[in-house]
Amino acid sequence: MNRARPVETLLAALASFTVALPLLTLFDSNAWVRPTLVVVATIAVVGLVLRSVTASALRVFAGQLVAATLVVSWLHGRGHLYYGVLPGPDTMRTFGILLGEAQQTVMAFSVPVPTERGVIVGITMLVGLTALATDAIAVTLRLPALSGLGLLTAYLVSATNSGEGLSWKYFVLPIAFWLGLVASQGITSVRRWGTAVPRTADGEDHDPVLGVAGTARLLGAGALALAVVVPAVVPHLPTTYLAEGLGRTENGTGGGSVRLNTTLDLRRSLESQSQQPVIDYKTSTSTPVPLRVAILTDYRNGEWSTGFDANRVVTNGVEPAVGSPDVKRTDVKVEVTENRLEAPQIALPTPLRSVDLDGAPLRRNFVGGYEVDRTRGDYSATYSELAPEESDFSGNGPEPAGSEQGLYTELGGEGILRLSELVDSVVPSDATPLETARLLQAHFRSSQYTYSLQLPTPTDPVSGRTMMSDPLSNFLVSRTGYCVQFASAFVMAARLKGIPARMAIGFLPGTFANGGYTVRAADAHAWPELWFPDLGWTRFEPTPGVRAGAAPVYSLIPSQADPTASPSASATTSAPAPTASERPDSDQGAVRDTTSSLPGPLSWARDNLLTIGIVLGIILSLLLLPVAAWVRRRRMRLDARDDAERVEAEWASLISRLGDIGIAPPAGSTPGQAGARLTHDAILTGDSKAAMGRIVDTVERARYAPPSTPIDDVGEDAKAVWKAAVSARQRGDRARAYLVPGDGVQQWNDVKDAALDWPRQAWARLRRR
Amino acid sequence: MPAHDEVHPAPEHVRTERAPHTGAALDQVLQVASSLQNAMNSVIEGKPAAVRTAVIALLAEGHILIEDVPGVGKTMLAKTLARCIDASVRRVQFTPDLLPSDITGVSVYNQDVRDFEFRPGAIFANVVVGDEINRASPKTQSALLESMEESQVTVDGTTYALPRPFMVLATQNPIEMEGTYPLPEAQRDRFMARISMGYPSARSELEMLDQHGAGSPLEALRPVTDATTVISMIEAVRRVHASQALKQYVVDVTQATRTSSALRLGASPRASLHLLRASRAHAALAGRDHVLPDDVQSMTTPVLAHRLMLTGESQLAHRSAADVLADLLQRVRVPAPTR
Repeated sequence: MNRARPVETLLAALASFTVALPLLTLFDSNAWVRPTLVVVATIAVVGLVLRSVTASALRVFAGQLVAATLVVSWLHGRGHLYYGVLPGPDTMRTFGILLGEAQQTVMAFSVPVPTERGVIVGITMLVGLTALATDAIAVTLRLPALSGLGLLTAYLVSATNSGEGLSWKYFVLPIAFWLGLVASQGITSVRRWGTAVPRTADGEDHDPVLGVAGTARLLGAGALALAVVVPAVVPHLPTTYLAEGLGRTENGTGGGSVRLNTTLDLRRSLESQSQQPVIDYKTSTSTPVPLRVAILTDYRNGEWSTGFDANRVVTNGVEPAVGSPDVKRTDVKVEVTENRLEAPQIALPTPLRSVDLDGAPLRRNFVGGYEVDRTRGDYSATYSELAPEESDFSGNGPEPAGSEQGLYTELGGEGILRLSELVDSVVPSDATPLETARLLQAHFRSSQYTYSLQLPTPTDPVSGRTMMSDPLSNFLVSRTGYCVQFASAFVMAARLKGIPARMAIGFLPGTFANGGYTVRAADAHAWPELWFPDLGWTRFEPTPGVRAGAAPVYSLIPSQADPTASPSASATTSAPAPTASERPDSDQGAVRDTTSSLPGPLSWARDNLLTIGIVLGIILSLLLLPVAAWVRRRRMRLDARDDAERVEAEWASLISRLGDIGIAPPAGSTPGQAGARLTHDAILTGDSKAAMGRIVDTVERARYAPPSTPIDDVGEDAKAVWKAAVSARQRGDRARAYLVPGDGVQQWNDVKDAALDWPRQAWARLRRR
Repeated sequence: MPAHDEVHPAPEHVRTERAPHTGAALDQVLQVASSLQNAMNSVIEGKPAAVRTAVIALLAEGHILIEDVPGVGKTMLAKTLARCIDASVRRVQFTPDLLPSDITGVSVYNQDVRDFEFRPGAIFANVVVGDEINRASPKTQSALLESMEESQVTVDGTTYALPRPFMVLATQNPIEMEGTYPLPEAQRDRFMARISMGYPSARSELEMLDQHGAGSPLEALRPVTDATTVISMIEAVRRVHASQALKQYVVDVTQATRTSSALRLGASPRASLHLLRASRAHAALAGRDHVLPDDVQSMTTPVLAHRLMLTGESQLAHRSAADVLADLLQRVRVPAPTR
């Protein structure tokens, strides 16, 4: 045996390096990879050489440590070395400064962190230490299982700071190398047992490893698969941060809080949606509304922002109710139990009636947006759920505050002309404001538009040139976008038709679980609000797709809301408006609306689709073997050409089933001996013992008597014996017998063999030709 | 044996269409064999297995080698079996000066007819008891063994058939080796079964003392059957069914003795034949019209053990041929019928 252990050294080095790979997601460049690789390789090679020279673990470790220190110094400490070769106090001082800088960087920046020199030094040292420890424990001391702890620690440091779920591939690689390390070490140990492993019946010497390798491989693969599958079931746990620094969301200044960007850029694709919880709340209604955080009025150069006028704080307290008191409204309370939205932002439902901030002031700006002084962990708010009639939309009431300044009617950008054409084609010129809004919403939610977080770059069909100039035109041509694009187009279209309109940003109602709703950072949403004098600012939902909000009932074209209405009602629509249920990419909100009236179990099933799927999957996979066993037994019985073969099949399946509960006749036993042994081991008495006797007699007759001897059916007797035998067993044995029947295993083996054999035979046939 | 009748309700029509008299013949076998065994057991105390093997060999047309230390009743067993059958019985005490012609017979010139006349030797009987067979010279032994195999004797160019049934019960003493010619393995192969008597249990020995004290129980023994009945029984045993799977098992067992690492010499094809025939008789004694692997297993040691030669290794390990056979039987799979 090679004392240097090259294979294990390589595996240890690979495991140490791959364990650091999750760092790729944390830093803006991969400049740390090369020096790290050099250090890991140095440690491996030096270990290899020293191990072949000396047997002392201490000497090997010391040698590796010196070599690693030298290499790190040469890589990062140039200019601070004695004679340009040896590290000294100056080198250490420099490294100290660099590492201090690295800590500052990590504390100050959110992901992705700039890869400064100090950061590279830090990573190189950390990974080097990991490699050193792994090599020393796993290869030099030959305790690969123990080295897993060190690797796990390093992995936790590198993997848990991204703040988001990590691809499973980052886990599989180091684990596979580590398992390989354990396996290679284990194989060496087992080979050394040698004589302790029994010889096979044919008397030949096999590699003793073969006997246990299959089981070990199965265990390893199973554990790995489990480790990858289980995280899919357990919830995403809160992130821990390295030095309280990495992994914060953009614009964040403290650990774990969230702030919405109050400028919306239509050009940006939405990526890396964080699943971080923002707000937990409880409400009595089954159709919660989105929570508004801010109101944007100004659209310039493809960007939404709150104008200076609008942002001016005018007063404290809740905006007085606007609109006609005749409108039917229900007050709904929302209790926020956990709030991580950073002050001055606060998420509130609309139209807001009252709010309880525990005495803290609620500031209101000119256009009706709210702010608070500091982040409140919990608060409650009451809003009115409006159920307006058709007539409520046609009133001639007051204009909203700020309309004199043109806050809600200003048009801008290059896409207006294109949009105007679209609006003219969708909305008849004599349409009322409500009809206009409904038709526009139906148009944007139709299948002509695609919801996508990735914004395409449309090319001009004639010139083939990229059209990047204006995001609104871009959207109108590509008809692809997410809520910001849809809402922007809708707001602009409404303003074109003279309806005061503005952009609201906030959060979708979130997901329901355990009696409350959880809003995550990825639930951020933008939607248009239109002014109707009798109602005030009214929410519309032009965004289709799975991540959009609910379309309010009043915003749907009546024929859509009421399938019994005559189709002529929508005949004025120039664009075909499919009903909500027909829409191929019907959005989540609409689904929520239409199915919220479903009875409890169904809605529960909808909420727990993933869980149900996993449970079903587990049940199905548990059934794989039993069903295969049942199929095999049944096939054997049905395939029997005569009574004798049927009895033989019954006997074989009885033996196999009794084997499942640990009762097996000796290899060379005759049916009679097998019967006696089974009767004894399964503690059969009375009827079942007699049944076993009849079975044995029938089997003997079927096998050995003259061919014309009549043979009885033993199916019933076999059942009786099986029942008696299994009832005397413990529950665990019984469960195993039912879940992992040997017949089932055999059946799958047959299937596997047939599958493997098929190409071989096909190849043989081909060659014969 | 009423129990077997319950277990195997082989209906009449089956028996009639295949072998008209199997049922009746089997009943006769059962009845006669059990009375034969009862009679013998009354003389040979506490050795029912040995008695059974002897009866099986009789029904399977085999010869028996009784091998054991002196005084355990080897000759007694042979004589008892002979006495129970109302047939011609000869007893030959083998000595070094016994000549082959004493066994086979000799042609003597008859003055009256002026021709040679054949005087049949000791072999011309239904049951021949050869006592201490290893004391005779190999030449004499061969003469006996040849006639055993062929059931006929050729003297001076004339062949004389031996009577039916014909059975040789030879005894052999393995202890006193001085001046003996132990049967070579090839010769032992001609005996269907070997019986080792072994010492009786204390109680059996006590009973024996009681009975033999008054006089030889052999004197009181009356024949329970005759030669014709035995012949018909032999015919019935021949008709016992052995299925293909069972024959396969017999072959597998003998093959296993040939490949076993514990044996220097395995069983011959003749051993397979003997094993199957003995198994048939064993099945018939159980009242069955077909052979089971269990029959084969019960007959394996009596039929095969004396034909095997152990390797030096096994001998050093104090393993007997019976041990090796028991090991083999545990390993050889009982074949199920193949499709």
